[in-house]
Amino acid sequence: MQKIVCFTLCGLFLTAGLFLTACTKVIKLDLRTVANKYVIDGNITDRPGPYTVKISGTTGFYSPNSFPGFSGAVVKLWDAAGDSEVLADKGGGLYTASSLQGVQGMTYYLSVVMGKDSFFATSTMPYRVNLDSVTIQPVLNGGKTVITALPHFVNPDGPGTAYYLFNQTIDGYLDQTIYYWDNAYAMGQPNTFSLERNSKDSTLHSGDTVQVEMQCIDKPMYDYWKSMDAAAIGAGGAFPGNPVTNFSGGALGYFSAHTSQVRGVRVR
Amino acid sequence: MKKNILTFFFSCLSLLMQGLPLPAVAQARYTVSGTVRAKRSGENVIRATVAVSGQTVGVTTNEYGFFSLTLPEGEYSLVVSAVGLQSQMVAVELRKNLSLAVSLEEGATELKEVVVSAADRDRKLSGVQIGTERLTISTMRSLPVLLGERDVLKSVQLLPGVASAGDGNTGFYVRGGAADQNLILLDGTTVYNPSHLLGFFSTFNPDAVRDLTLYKGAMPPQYGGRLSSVADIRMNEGNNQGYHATATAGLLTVSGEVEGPIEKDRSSFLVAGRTTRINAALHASGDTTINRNDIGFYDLNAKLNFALGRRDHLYVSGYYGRDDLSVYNQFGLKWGNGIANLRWNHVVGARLFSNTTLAISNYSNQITGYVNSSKSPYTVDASLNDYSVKQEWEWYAGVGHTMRFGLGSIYHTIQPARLNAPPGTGLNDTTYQSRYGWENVLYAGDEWKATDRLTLSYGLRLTDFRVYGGGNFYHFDAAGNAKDTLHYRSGQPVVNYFNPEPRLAIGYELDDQSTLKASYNRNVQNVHLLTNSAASFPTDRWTLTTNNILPEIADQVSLGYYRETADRGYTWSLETYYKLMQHQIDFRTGANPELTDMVESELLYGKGRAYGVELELRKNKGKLTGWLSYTLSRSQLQIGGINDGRWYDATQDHTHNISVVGIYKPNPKWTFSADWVYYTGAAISYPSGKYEAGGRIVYYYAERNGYRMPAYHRLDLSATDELKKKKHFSEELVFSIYNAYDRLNAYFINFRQDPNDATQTQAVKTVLFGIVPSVAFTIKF
Repeated sequence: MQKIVCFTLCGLFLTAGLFLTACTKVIKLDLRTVANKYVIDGNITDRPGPYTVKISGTTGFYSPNSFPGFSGAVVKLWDAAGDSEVLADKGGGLYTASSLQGVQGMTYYLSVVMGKDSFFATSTMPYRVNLDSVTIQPVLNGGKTVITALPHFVNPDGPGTAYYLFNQTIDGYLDQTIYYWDNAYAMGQPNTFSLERNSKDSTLHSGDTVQVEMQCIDKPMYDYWKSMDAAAIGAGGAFPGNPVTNFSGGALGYFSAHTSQVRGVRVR
Repeated sequence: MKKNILTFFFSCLSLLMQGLPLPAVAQARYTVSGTVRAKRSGENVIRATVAVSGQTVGVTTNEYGFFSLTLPEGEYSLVVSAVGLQSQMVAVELRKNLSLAVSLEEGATELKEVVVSAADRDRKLSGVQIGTERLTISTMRSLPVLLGERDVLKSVQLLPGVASAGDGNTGFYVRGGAADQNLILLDGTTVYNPSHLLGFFSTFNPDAVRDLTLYKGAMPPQYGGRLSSVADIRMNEGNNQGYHATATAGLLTVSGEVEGPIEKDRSSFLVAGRTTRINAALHASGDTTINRNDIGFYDLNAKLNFALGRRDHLYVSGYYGRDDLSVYNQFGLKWGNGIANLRWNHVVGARLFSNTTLAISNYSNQITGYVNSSKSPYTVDASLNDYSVKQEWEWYAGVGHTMRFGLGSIYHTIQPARLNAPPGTGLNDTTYQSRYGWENVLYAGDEWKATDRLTLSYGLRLTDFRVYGGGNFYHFDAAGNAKDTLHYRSGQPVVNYFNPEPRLAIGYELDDQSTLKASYNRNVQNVHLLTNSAASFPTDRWTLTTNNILPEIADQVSLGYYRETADRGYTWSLETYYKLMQHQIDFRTGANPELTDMVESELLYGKGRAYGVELELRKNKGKLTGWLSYTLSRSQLQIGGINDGRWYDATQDHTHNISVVGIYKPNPKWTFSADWVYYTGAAISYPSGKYEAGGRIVYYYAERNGYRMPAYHRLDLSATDELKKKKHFSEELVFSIYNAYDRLNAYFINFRQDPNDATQTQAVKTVLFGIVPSVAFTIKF
């Protein structure tokens, strides 16, 4: 259903733009800058490690996009089966695991102790939905044909809801659009939705090499990506806010245990 | 408990009725009653004044033109007067009950503005209702407009205490309340979505509308169901004397209206229609990204009315409108309202007037989506239906008492979404649970002119709301996860709420030129619109009160002072209010109410408060008329889970709000008008930092609504040239300039990576309307 609503909103703005004298202009706002907050970016997948946890911080809106890492934290990763390890501090805010191997269906725990602050998160890796292939799909967008990538997989017919995140990399650059879906209205159906970018240049181009990563994620991570999308867009007056993190203790970011499959395609 | 309250209520009512009859020793009293109509059209006249010459005694006609006045036996001269019509003196010899049918001649055109101001003077100084604004179509006609299109709801935004929901938008906020807290009535029936074209037009065709009354707070007990206001819009009735037609061509729409007698003096019809002509322009484009899309709407108003003898009158009115936006082979969105009602007026006796209404109101929308540009789209339909019946009585009890009492019942059904997915779309047919609610209302109120100077209005409205199955109802934990699911059979009661709503208003005339008024009232709302953005979309979800969503309740006190100059050339008023709102609804961060059947899991609840001062100065006479209004106000929410439970400014909070309106009429041929509006930008959330997670830049929000949009201001100009004006034919040309000094007001602001510098982020404002000149042409015959 997410896709459906996204279509609607994009379409509405598009239609409005057709007849209004709309224009956009860069403006300078007087924005406050809050004191640094820790940001934790932790992942464990069903592919071989090493898995990494990155600890960084916030910066002012008008500062450059560089986010220094924080080392010196004690980062511990363990699973419901009792296996655990303390991650190696590689400096620059990067911490890596070496022995743990992600397994589908397993619940994982991550704790981070940084001076007086401690943060904790849990995430369960769902069972994988197989990504068969990725093909190129032309679609109409505002009457114009755009080239998109279409991931082929069959939505499981229950039990429960399957949640996905897709990351699209175009010639080595991560597409900033957040593609988060579920199978709630497509149980048992082959996927038909392609990755349409929320970008002015919404099309892929001839010669592009496209890598699509499909992640099967749990419900809290689905909520995280959904709310991150809302925060990222913030357009049309939709109430933006911070993504709903699965960390307790006041950290930003997330800890995601997910399956990961990558398929590539080249646009002819 | 409830039964006791009802019993108490009825005993009070009957006591009141028994208590009212006349003192035993008084001389005989008789009643003169009847209707006031406009001679030229035969239409009834709302709020005409029927006054006894040389005395302060008088009444106004109700919304069906009926009046009743009880006086001691004797001879009287009654002065009947109304907006835009010539006053008439009627001599009556009151030795028994009399019935009158008064027909007023059309007033001379040049006097119109003066007469309009007289009506305003009546509103502001006399009577008891505080926070009531009335706009007649003649005032609305003089105001500048966007794209040549007059609009009832945009005119309302120029009144004190009313703020616009966005540039060029028909949505409005009254006294710090949300847009869905306004009850919008067309001939007494609720219109759920009063907007066309995503809010740039209202659903009310100005050719079909004659009058709008806005109650900003102290509404009489016959009104209820929304927290903030009632906009009571009345359609023209149709001329029962002769046939007339109007045709208007604007840049975006063409509209027309035809009316006339079915049987002269007894019955009439009116049909008005309007449609856009944007599609013609789009389809003429050579660009295939434009010429296969559709943008348009149409609407149709129809009304029939029949006099059935002297005591009965029947009205049938209806509205149907549809919007259609579609982008070729990608998506489509259709929405619209359909309403119909049947009203039967019956004069039970000289002092008792009855009105019975049967009505239906429907709102529906449909999204169409094409998966990968396939030929067979999926659709998502949503609909809301109200079936209502209402019985009202107006009893002119005499000795200064006018009582209104009645009861009503509305059956609500809401189908939030039904996905119809043909094979190949990769989706399964899915239906969200429908919700059913039954709202019953009982009310009584008395307006009592206690002394020459003191008027009291008091009443009670009882609202009973019942939620029925079938379907699943849930209990949620603090995080919004369902912890308990209860299944109800079809028709099984789920929960019910009973709320008494007291209404009290006092008006005291300090002297001939000044009045003081005060009021307290409570309103209850059981139908809520869930919108998670400042701009409202046609797909925003309506929901009923449930076991989790409690009835919204507002208590408001207000105080007003009104003064006019001796020649009545100027009036000024000062009103102040404080409003406390319970069970307000807000969203969890990142919520998307369209995505889930279990919508309550996305909601948070709390309370709201709004207060402010509204100042208005009007010039009523001369070639230059107009008004200046200034509102200083605040509207805040306190919701558990947002901003750590602290009070924060609501989206509709505009600290300062100024409107200046001038209408200059140097001669009968030309009318010039201008308006200037200014308001503090809406409260909004902006980032107070940024970080990187998941390979993406994420903005950090320190709090909800901690920033402000830039201040909004705009000047509009208009000139109307009456090209020809004959008895049966007139032509009019209207030139307008919207946003004359091209202020680039931000419609919304979003944040992105600088396209030219990947290391930076920037804020970007989107402006919808710069300077927009337009022209419209109207023919009447």
